[in-house]
Amino acid sequence: MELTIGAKLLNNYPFLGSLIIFGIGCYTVLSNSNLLKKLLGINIMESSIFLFYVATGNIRGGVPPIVDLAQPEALYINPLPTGLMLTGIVVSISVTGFALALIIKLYRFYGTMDANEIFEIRNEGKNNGSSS
Amino acid sequence: MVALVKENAPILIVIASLFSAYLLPVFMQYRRYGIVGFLALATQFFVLFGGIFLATQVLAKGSFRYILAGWEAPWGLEITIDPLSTLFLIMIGLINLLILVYALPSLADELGNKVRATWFLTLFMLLTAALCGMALCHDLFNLYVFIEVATISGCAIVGAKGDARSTEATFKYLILATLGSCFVLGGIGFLYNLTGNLNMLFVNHELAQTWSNYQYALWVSLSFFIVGFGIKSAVFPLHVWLPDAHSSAITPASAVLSAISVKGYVLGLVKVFYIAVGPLIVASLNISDILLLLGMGSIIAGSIFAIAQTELKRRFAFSTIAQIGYIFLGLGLNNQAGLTGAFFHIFSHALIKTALFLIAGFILIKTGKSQIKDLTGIGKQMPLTMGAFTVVSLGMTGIPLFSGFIGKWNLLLGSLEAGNWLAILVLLAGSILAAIYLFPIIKQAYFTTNQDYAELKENTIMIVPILILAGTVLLLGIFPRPVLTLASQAASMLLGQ
Repeated sequence: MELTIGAKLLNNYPFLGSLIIFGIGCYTVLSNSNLLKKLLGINIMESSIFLFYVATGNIRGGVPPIVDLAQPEALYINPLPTGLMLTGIVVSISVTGFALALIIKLYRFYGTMDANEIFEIRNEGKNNGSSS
Repeated sequence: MVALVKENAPILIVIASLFSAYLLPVFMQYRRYGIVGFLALATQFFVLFGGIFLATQVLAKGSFRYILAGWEAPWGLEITIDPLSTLFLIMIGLINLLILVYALPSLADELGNKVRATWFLTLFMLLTAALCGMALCHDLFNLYVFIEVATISGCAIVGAKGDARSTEATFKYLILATLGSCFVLGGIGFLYNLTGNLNMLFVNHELAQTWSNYQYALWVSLSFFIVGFGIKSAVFPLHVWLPDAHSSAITPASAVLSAISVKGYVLGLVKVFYIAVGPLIVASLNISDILLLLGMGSIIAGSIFAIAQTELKRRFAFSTIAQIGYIFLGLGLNNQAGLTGAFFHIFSHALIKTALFLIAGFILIKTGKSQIKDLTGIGKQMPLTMGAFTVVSLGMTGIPLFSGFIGKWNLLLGSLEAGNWLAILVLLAGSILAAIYLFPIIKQAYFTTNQDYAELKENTIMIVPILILAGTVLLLGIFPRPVLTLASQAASMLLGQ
C-alpha cells in the first residue's frame, strides 16, 4: 500500500512533533531579547531532540527490553537512544545551570535581563568614555 | 611500564589531560602553585610527545584503531589514530604548551589572584582533553559529548576574567554554541535513525548501500551538521559570537580559542562528512557547494570586517573568521590538493593566530595600549615583538618562504583542478585583504615616531613563545615536509584513495 506524504507524516507523528517543537525553540531563542526566555528556548530545543531520540528507539506495541522467558516472541524497544538521552539531559542541565549563573552575574552588572537594554547601556558607557 | 604507556598512548593522552584538570585544584588547596604550573606544563608535554609518537607510528605502519577496554566495535567504543588526528594532537600539544609558557608568569596578575588562575588552568586542561578526544573519537555520540565538554569549558574560559564585557560575551557564546550543539545532536539523531549505528565506520558502510533511498532525510541531516558546526566554528553568516568572545577574553584564552578550539569543530565536521557519510555522497548531494559558498563568503566578509576594526584583538578575531573560510573552501573543493591545503592551513593558521594574540597581549601588558592608532613607533620600543609580528603577518598573507604560503598554494592547486575560477579569485583577494588589514600596523610601528620614546624591557620569558612561533612559521615555510606529509596522507585517507 502506497502512502501519501501526509499519511506518512501522520504515521510518524512523534518525529513531526519533535521537529515542530524544535522550530518553536529555535524561534524563541532568536526572537526574544529577554535572556531568561532565550534560555527557555534552548531548553525547549533540547527537549525536542530528546523526544526525537526516544521516538527513534520506540516500537509500537513493543515491551521494555527486559528479557521475559514467558514471552519469547515479544518485540523489545531499543533502549540505546533512551540511554543516550540520559547523557543529553545531563549536558542540558549543566548548560542551564551555567547560563543561569551568567544571567545572575549580568543582572548584577547591568540591572536588567534584556539583551537590547544591556546593549544600550554598554554603548552609552563607551560613548561617555571616549568623550571624557 | 613504558611498554604499557606506549601501547595505550591514544587514550592516555585524553585521560592525562582530564586527570590533571581535576588534580590542579587539589594542589591549589594546599597552596602548591609551583606544582600546579609544573603539572599543567607536563601534561601539555605529554600531549605533544604522544602526538609525535603516534604520528611516527602512523607514518610507519598506517592508520590503526585502538579498542577501549577490550570491547569490540558494535558494543564498545573505538578510537582511530590516523594522519588527521595525529596532526591535530601535535597542533594541540605544541600550541597549548607555548600558550602556557607565555601565560604562567602573568596569569595570576591578569586574573587577580592565584586561586582564579588555577581554576583557569583547570578549564584549559578540560578544553585540551575535549579537543584531543574530538581528534581521536570514532563514534558519533562520543563526538557530541566531547563537543559539549569543549563548548562549556570554552565558554567558561572566556568568562574567566569576570568583568561585565566578558560575561556578556560568554552568555552570547554559550547560547549560540548550545544552539549549535542542538543542531549537531539533531543531525546525529537523523543519521542514527537512518543507519541504526553510531560508529562512523558502520554508518559509512550502511549509507554506502542505502543512501539513495533516503536522499532528503540525509540532506536534512547534513544541513543540521552544517548549521551546528558552522555556528561553532564561526563561518561568516553564523559568526556573530566570535568577535566579542575572542576579543574580550584574557590573552591565553583568546589564543587557544582562536587558534585551536574553532578548528576542533571543523575537525568534527570533517569526521562526520568524510568518515561517517563519505565524500561521494557529500558531493552528489551538493553539500560540497554549500561548504564552498560558506568558505568564500567568510574569506571576503571576515577580511572586510577586520579592516574596519580599530582594536588590535578585535581585528585578529575577525581575521580568524576569514581564515576559517579558507579551511571551508578547501573542504568544499573535495579533491586531494584542496583537502591537503585545508589541513595544512589549519596547522599554519594555528601557529600564526597564536603568535598574533600573544603579541597583542604582550603589547597590552607592556604599554597598556589596545587601540591600533596608539601603536605608533612601537617597532623601535619593542623590536623583537614587532619583528615576530612582521614575520607572522607575512605568513598570514601567504608570501612564499612562510608557512601560510604552502596551504594557500595547495588550495589554489585544488581550485585549478576543480576548474573553479571564482575560488581562485577569492583566494587571491583574501591574500590582498589580509595585507590590507595587517601591513598598516607594521608601517605605523616602524615608520612613525612616538614622543615618549623609551626602550621597553622585552627580556622576559613571555617573549620566548612568540619568538618560537615566529621561527616555526618561517621554518615550516621552508621545510614543510613533515606537516605536509601528514596533511596529504589525511586527505588521501578521507578521499579513500
